[in-house]
Amino acid sequence: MRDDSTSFTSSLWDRPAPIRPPRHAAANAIPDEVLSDAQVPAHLTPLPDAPEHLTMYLVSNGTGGLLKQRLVDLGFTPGTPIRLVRKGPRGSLIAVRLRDTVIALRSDEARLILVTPEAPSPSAFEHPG
Amino acid sequence: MSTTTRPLLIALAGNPNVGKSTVFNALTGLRQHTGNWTGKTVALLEGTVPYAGDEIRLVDLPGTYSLRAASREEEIARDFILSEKPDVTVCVVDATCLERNLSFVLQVLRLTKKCVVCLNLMDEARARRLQIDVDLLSRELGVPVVPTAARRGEGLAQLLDTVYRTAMAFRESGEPQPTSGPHVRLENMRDDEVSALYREAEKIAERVVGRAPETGKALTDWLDDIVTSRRFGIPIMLLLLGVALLITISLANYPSAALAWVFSQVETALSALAWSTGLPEWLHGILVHGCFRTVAWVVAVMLPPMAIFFPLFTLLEDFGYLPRVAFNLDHLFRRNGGHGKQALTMSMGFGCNAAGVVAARIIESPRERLIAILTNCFVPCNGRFPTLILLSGIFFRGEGPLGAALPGLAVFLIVLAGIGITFLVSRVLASTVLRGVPSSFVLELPPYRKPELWKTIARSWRDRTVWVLRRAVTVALPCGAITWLAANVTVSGKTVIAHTASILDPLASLLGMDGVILTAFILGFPANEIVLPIALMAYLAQGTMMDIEAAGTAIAAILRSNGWTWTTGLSVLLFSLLHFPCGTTVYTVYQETGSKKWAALSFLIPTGVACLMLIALNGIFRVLGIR
Repeated sequence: MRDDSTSFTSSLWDRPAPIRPPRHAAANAIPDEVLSDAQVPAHLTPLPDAPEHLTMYLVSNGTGGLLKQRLVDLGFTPGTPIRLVRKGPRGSLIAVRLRDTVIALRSDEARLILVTPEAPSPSAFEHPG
Repeated sequence: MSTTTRPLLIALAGNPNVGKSTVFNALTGLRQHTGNWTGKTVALLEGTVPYAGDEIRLVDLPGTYSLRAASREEEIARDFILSEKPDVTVCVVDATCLERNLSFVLQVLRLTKKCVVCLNLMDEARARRLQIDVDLLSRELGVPVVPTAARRGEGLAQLLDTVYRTAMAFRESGEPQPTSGPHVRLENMRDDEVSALYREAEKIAERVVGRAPETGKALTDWLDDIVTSRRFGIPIMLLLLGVALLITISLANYPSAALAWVFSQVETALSALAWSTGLPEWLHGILVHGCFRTVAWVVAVMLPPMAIFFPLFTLLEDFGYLPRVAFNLDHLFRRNGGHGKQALTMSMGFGCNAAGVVAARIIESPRERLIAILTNCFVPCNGRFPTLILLSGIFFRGEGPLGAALPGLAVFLIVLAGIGITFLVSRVLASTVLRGVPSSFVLELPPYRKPELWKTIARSWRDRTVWVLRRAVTVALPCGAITWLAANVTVSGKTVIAHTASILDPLASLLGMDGVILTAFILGFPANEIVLPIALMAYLAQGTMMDIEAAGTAIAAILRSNGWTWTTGLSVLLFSLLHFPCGTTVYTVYQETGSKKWAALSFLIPTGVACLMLIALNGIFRVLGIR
């Protein structure tokens, strides 16, 4: 059953992928416009800016094309607990742990993945949309 | 009790890094070969397992995270399951990260219900105090589940038994119809459908897996803090490469000398046999001094360094170190227009550049893949590596224990120079013919795993020996005969090889070499390992190599007496590092890119780079009066 409470988290999780930068046609290209900090809602954090070793929850995956498909295949789906494990030698890569594996990503691509410290409500995914 | 009309066909599918090849190797042992499959020109590793009087054919599908056919590997795996209709598809899954692996199993189950799950890495799961309810998992999925720890051989007999019985049951009853929903073609599967499978996988995993509370930092995290750190990441990488080279160079001499002694005894016996049977002198020359000596030389000089370096390398690979190299170097590759995974293709290039070119498939962006393909030959392969070691040993050996380490340092620097040139050429390509934006980077960093030390070494030795012997027979043998003829047949007072050498001399001297060695490089196009044997054969007046037993010192004497100085040695080292790749590699580039243009460029770019570098270097030597 849908949780009708109007609390912040449930309203956040009820809307599937509320914040999404424009999709990009080129399969591999990094989008030219990366969300500027002003565009990211205050309660959401771009993945590379998440505190290290703290479990966050994936809200939206704003990447596009093949990269998005790859990430979904690896389990980067909304609601997934995700933890920033380390930043790469020059900060250009980050390593995150999700679903018991460690995945390395480029920071500027991971910036399009938004996370929140709030766990999703259990009903959030039962009736998407 | 064979009731089958055709042998059982079993496919092994699964995510990367789940020990799929360990399962495959453990089941098939030495009975493996690369098989070609219809439809596409796809070569898959195939093995046979005798079981209950039947023969089971086992095919190892590429490791993929999904079957959505977004990459070539995924397409191959999916097409195999759909068109070859294996009797059973075995999904090898990692018991320590069940959620992700189950989402893959659920995808496979959409294609076929003829499935058995091999719940592998149970030893690691136990070490992490994960409790998995195997029966419940089997009921949830509706297919048999067999727990295994393939490295220790645990559960493999039961796996084989289950697979066999399941396959036979399906042979009798036919394929069961999919129980839920229509048959889905996975290429149409959208992201939200995969997300839905993940939610299903989460639910199953939640019911099936019991977790102990996390106990501090795992060894993998602790190691990664050092191995991928800003401060130590690259130095550790260089240190490992240096140590591997040093071990190789200091140990390779002994087996080389032993092999050379054996071959020289065999040669004496062969010559004696030839004399006693009254074999004509020219035939004796072709067979013994041409074919046998070249083959013996290639085996004695080339095999030991490979047999030492490659097991070391494979151990690092099995340990899980290579993805960390890609992680550490991605920013460098990216700055030069390449992709971090190019580090992995270069690593494969140490073994064989053709293999490195094929490995470039892991890079999804065509532009970055081409950069990796075209620059792969700047990593010295199997065939050139021993040449580098040998020449460094002759021209850069110093006095005392420190001096003895100099050849190792020289090879190390040559390899680094190759890596530097790779970056440079990548950069030039990325700003000219292969312009474009960088693609994305997603790479799993699997936990470090204790390599199976002796199994890895044994497998690596077997592979290297087979590889060297095959090349020795298919290439060195005929080339030995041709070279002996070219070095002995006289036309207008000079041997054929002397003629070509004198034609090439002007160009060669610009490059700091001589016509003979340049001729040898050209004749060595089929396989780089015969370059030095050809040159030595040509140098010797009567057109044969010296007694192979005297290898080290005699080679030095021959080269020095033919005017080689250390600048010649350095020029040849650099030319060997930078020049055109072997014929097999160029052909592989053609196959992989489907384009004659790129195949031609894979030949022309390195050749151009080698010529430019050497002309510049020797120009500097000349100006400074260095000889």
